[in-house]
Amino acid sequence: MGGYLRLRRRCGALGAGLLLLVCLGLGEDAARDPRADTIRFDAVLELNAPLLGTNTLLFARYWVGTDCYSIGVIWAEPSLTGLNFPTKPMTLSVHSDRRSLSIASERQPSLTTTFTKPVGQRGVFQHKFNSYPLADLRFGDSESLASRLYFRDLRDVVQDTNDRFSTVDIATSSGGSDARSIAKAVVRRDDSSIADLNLLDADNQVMKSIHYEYTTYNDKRLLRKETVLLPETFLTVGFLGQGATITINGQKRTFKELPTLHHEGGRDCTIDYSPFTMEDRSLAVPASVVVRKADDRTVVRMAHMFNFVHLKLTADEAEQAAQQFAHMDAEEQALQQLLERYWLKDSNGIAGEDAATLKRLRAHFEDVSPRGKIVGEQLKRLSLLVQLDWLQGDDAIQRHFREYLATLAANGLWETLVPAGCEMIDVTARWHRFTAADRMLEHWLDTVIAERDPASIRRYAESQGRRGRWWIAARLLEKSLQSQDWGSAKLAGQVLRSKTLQKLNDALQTPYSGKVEAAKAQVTWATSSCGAENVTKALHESLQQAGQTFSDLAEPSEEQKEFKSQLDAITKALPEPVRPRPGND
Amino acid sequence: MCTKQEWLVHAHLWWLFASVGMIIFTWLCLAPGGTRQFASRGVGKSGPVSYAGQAPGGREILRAATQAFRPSLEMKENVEFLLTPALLVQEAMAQDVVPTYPWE
Repeated sequence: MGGYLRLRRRCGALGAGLLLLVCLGLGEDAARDPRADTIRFDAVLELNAPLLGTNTLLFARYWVGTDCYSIGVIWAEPSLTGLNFPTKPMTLSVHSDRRSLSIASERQPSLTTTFTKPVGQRGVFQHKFNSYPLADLRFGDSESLASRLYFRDLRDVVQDTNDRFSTVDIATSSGGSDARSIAKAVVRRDDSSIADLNLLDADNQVMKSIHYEYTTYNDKRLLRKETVLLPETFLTVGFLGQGATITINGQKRTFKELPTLHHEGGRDCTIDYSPFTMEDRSLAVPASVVVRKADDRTVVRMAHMFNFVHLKLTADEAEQAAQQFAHMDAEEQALQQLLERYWLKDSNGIAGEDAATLKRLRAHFEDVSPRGKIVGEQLKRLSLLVQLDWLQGDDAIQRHFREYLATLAANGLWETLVPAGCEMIDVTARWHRFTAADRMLEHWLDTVIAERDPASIRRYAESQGRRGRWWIAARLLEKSLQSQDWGSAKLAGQVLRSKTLQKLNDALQTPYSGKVEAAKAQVTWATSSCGAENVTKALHESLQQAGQTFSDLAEPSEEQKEFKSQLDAITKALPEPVRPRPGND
Repeated sequence: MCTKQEWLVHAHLWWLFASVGMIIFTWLCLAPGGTRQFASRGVGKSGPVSYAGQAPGGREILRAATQAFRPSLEMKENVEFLLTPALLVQEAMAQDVVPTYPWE
């Protein structure tokens, strides 16, 4: 009996101990990751790559707390080809908190990874030829957080009311794991706020020059605009293998590492803020960011943020919400599989079961109401419908294409409308849907010419010609030259059209054996659309028109004389006896 | 007068200083105005440099030698811009952070 009581007491003590441990554990978890103020918002990011001449749009939703954030990317444009990003960004999600940075992608599961913080140093930059691993986002995150400036760093400025200009030494450690690169801050105050701020490194080189503008909201002074100048920087790049050999004054030297320019030309960043109320607190949240090259004002990237909502979430809940937002549902996954299975194949060859699935998917996506959806979701739905049209050879593609262009135009996404529309037409031609491609091309040409000037049309046509899209480029130049005033650039436009038609004509005369799939489709499309003989005729007409334009010039410039010699070269290369005379010499 | 051992030490030191001097001179030829930044930063760290007053030849040589990296640096900026809206809103929410725009 006594043994039983002792055993019961011991079991009771053990149970109480376990309960206490569980309670302590739960308490610790709750204290570590409580529900906290979170701001959710949507963003459209426009990424331009001037070196490659590409334009990429990302549609993302963000969940941001004071020490964590989660991002879910729902869509990107162009969605199939011509997308300039390390991976297809749809279904991508990123989560960062104090402990780690995680990347997840349903489309490319091999990218899914978690990095424990501190993530270490970036090391020598070794990426070339437009490659850049998405995993390196961890360094962007840690470097940005480490370079933050705190009001406690500027307490001497705030306390000193006599001097409007102050220079403050900044502690190189911010209390986090990464050392700060900021060594000094030069501050100019107005009555109650910072008006200008220059951040300097240990060598007294300016890292950022920032100008602040304020507004009054609910009797509180809030940030209205921030203008940041990031100067050119040096970055060390490393060569794999033997290194780079440079000849200086006749002497060859081999380098494993060299300095190169980052932010070439400088970066001018403008952030516009708008007021936002979070419970009883007024905040200035960023509404738009525009980053330009500081020297020639070229816009290199932009972001528009909207739909700000205040929530209370844990970091885990925010991460799950981002992954759920970027998630591909069962219908999208089914369409993705069928698109891969029947890519560029005749719709008559689709198996019965798959044809039934496509029919069901069409009904599903047609029924989804675009009302209340953000622009990324609307474009996603329309793109998926166009993919179904390709697979099924459905004429609804023209309607969906019109809606797609109208959605881009209604949201001011003109920089994307031109390339994304062109990509869609090109893929339609590669499916050999030439009648549909003709109609889509006409609508796209009207839309583009109504909005773009001849200079940008010339640049775009030139870039598409290089990619083998000769038929699209020639038609764009033809329509623009007919309906727009090219002024003194008319000869340049006509010569570019002649060159484009010459390439198309050459490919028509001799079976095209190049590797560019788009070019093969363009040749077949042009033959189907107007016949090979009419392409040759159009080339002759273009040469004559350009020759006439040159003849009409009173005093041709050196550049225009060069254009004339290019015309002569094209004419000389034409087979006898159809060679025309390009104007009067 | 030096002993033989002292003379050897002096000779070694002289060669050491001369070698270091040559290395510094080579860097000055290649990246005038930018050398101090490299010396003071670690590998892979970046820092601002104004090109005002620099010899144009050095800049062009570096530009040509590192041309293949330029599209990847452009990509780096664009990829890291994905984080920028989140980092800006964090700056706005935090009571103690001075908005300074994240680095891409």
